[in-house]
Amino acid sequence: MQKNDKVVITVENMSKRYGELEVLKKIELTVHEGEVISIVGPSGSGKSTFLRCLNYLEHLSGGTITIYGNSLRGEAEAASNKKKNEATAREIRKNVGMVFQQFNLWPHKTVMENVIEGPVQIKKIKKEDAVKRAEELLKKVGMLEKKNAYPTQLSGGQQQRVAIVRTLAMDPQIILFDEPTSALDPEYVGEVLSVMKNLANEGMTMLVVTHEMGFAAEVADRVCFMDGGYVIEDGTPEDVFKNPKTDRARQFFSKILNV
Amino acid sequence: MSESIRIVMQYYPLFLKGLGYTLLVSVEAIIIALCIGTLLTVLRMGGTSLPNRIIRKIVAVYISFVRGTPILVQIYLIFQALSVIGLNLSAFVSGVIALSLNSGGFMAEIMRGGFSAIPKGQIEAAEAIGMSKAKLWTRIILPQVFQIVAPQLTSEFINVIKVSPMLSVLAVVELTRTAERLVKMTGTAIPFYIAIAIIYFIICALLEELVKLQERKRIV
Repeated sequence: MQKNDKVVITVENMSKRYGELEVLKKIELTVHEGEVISIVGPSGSGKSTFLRCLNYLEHLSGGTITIYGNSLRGEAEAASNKKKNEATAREIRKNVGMVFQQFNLWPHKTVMENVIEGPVQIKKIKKEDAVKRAEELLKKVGMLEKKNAYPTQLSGGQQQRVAIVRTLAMDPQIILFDEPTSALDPEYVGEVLSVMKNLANEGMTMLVVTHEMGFAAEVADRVCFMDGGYVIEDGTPEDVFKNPKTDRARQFFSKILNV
Repeated sequence: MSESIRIVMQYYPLFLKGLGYTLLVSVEAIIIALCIGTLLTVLRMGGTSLPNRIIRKIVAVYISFVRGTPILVQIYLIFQALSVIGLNLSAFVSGVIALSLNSGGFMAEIMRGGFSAIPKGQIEAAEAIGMSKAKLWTRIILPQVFQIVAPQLTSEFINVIKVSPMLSVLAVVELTRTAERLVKMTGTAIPFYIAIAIIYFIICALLEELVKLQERKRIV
């Protein structure tokens, strides 16, 4: 159910090895503009590693990742690829934001300072303009009144909302979410999911590694199921949850969805 | 007692001058050592490529040499080595260099501890928004490292002040050397040594208070 024909991410035959251990195998994925893709699967299936390869926090071993025309190439294939990838990653990161499981706000900076750090230091936006924009974004997620607080003074849910704003302040075309609600107390999961839902409705392209099947079912356009380093299911939430093609996925969902 | 105070007070301009030298040597050494410590910390935290590993090894050897030999030997060695390579620097400059090189090694070791206390995710968050290596260090890593290790760094500052009397072997007339001279001149020892002990103590205590004050501010 793609919203737009424009392809923004293409992953071809991508693999990732740690020494002898191959943790990602022959990954193929095409993402269209505005799509929300949930990546689900058991622990250790390679979901987070895959996501982190997309913005080069992990280095791919084989295959190609192309994001808005910038291609990362497997570093096990040619020695020169690493150098090229480092330059490419800088371009990719201009378009791709990331939200982490542990929020990773900078504790020596206030909420406002966390949010404007990227715009002011990297995009060279004037501080007054960055602050104004940050205030708008913080207001949207209900965090404006905490703009002068330090991260340690906030709950997990509040920290994650600020972390999402920090990412949004860089005006990314795509946001990668790496288990954004897994480190939260259950009472704070809803507030973060609702911010993500709003982003999805506004047309943001999102890849979300998550255990929140409810979110995947309700918000995602597509669900990818990963197991053992392979993407073994890729379809609408309806198809993947209700009529999985593989036994492995069927087993997994029957355990999770019935709880 | 009053006689002791009188004799010390009589020479107070000399004490002031000695104190000035002690402070000058210490402050200069501390500033240079901070630069050396920071540089070594950045150097040894590079990636796993071959040049990075060689650099890391060199830094490690340097630090264990500095920590594993007496400071007095280092002071003599630097003084002689500098003149052998044709740099005829004053005892003062050579002494500052020796203290800086020594303390820089200790500071690098302290700062490594601070560095490893920073969660890796924070560095990734900076990388993910496209921050350059230089900005990553100056805006994210180092400010936190200094905050984390401020108490240990202060101890090291105090340490520099306390080893500065070693420079009297190079005839740098700092506070301790001043007292020694006065002892020889007047034939009285105890009042002068007590006087400089009090002065050292006050400087170091003030420094410690300063840090405590800053820490309290941060908690509030």
